[in-house]
Amino acid sequence: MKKGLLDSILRTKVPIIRAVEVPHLAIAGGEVLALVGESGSGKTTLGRLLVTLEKPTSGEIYFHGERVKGRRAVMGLRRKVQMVFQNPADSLDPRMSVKGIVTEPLTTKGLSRREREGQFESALSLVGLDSSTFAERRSRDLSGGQRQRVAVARAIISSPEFVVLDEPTSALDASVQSQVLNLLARIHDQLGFTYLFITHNIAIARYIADTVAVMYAGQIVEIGPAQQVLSKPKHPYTQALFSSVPSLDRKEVAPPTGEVPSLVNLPKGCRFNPRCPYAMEVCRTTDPPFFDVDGEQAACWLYK
Amino acid sequence: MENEVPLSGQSGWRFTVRFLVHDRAALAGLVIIGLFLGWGLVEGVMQYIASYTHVASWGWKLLPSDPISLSLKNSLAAPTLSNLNNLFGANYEGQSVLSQLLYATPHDATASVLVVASAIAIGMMIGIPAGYIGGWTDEILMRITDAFLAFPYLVLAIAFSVLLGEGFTTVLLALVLIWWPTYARYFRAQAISLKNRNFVEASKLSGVGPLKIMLRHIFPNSIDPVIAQATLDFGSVILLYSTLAFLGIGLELNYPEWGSMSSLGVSYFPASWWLVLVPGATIMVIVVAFSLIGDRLQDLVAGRLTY
Ligand code: SF4
Repeated sequence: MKKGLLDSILRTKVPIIRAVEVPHLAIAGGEVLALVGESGSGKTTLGRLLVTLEKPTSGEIYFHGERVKGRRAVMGLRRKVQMVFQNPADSLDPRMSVKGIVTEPLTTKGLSRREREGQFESALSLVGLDSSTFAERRSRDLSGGQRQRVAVARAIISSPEFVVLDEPTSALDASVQSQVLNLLARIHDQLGFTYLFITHNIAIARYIADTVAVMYAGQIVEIGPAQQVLSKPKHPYTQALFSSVPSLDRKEVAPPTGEVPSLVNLPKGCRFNPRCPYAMEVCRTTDPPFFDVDGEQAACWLYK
Repeated sequence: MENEVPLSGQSGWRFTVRFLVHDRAALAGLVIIGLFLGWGLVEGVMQYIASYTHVASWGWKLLPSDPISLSLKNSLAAPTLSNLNNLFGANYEGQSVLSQLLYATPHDATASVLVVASAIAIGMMIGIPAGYIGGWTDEILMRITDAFLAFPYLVLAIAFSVLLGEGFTTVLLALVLIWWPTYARYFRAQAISLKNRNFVEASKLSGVGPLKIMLRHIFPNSIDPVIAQATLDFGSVILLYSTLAFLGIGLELNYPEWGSMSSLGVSYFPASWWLVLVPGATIMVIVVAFSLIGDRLQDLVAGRLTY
């Protein structure tokens, strides 16, 4: 973080905001990892870190076992990753046509016009839009669902290996949400990209994910196979999170009582200890590492 | 939340024009500016022919009378409706004020269009990289910009024309020098707000380099608000251009110009009031007309940005 002039004169300490601290997160090729957590837990920041839109202050990112560091590695990685943003209205350039937007990732690849044309048509048909109808339209002529389909088409046209989907359906109408979700699942089955699916909706995580990671206050607290994490959560935070879903109709993640700690002023020891019903002495002093429990991992002293 | 219906079908130039035409004040502004620029073009072409063929009279073929030669029996004739030539009266040298106003139009029109266009071009080249790249680039470019902004503009213009000598080009250069920093600031602000939008990040992720992002995304999306601002500035440029001429900076005195016309008229005020008031009122009408359009355009842009 950059210090202001006044701060350096007065020698005040600029608080370091620890948005995310992820000890270790590996995503296997071809799988769908759902990142679940309340808003403000740092899910989006983690997604942006992985696609190099955010720079890590410390730590390393590996892609296919190779460390991503320096401008060249970053530019190289950018050719293989894509992101679908939460708000489709903001993710399409209002001045450009659908065709211009979707084919932009191809402009750096030195393809002929014909090839680009062909890829545009197949990308649009993959997301269920008619390419001749939509090619010349602008973002403002599209509905929310159509915009998000266009954003997905742009993300997949250059055949990336890794796609971060940042709550891709949460800004859409309920009826449209399931269509887009089905579409994403179908594309994954057909093309086999690796997805990082950021969501706060448990039903969506259950529907689409192979692996689920739960985030609290900037840290992953539990990670494991989707079925297991969702049906038998181990970490007290995950348990509180899921038990607060009162009926099957309410599938949104509702936070347990109490407040998410401010990321500037985190509690000592386990970040969840002020709200945890099982908090022990050790929880207030030492940050828990990951422990293996029943084929998944939880960062909680209960499983020592 | 939105639904499966497109949000708005209204957009683009056609919409902008319809919007302006339906607003009476803006329509009045459009008509006045149309006449001003249209006449400026016609009379400009005539004066070009005059200088090209070395037949000076081509320059006032379309005017009621020769705006440059003396005609002493018409000296200080009062405005009258019975004689088109003296509609706005005549000056001490007997030259028709109407003819001089019309003769000077191309200069004011050219000045405003050229100055604003060049200021936008320079402002864009400085402001967009400053805002988009940020860091040291921003620091350096903006310190330079601030240095220009901090100078009192009249002092800057006078110093500049003393340095380069009098003449139309000098005045234009001085005006551009005064105006570009404002545009650099606008473009920088736009670039800063645009660079974190998702669509810019998406093209970063597509491996598009910074130069292309600036050209393809930042510039086209920042031009609307800048144009709205520029419309207001056309009037201000004419005003300052006339002020400089009024102060005797710029054009040679025997060449009629709105500012210098009213400046010369001051010695005959208030007896021959028309010499000061007619050119002054003309400048005012043009400035107000530009600001009528500019205000509406700014409303439009502000509304459009919230969609
Ligand atoms: S480590 Fe302690 S405080 Fe943290 S979740 Fe486990 S039991 Fe609760």
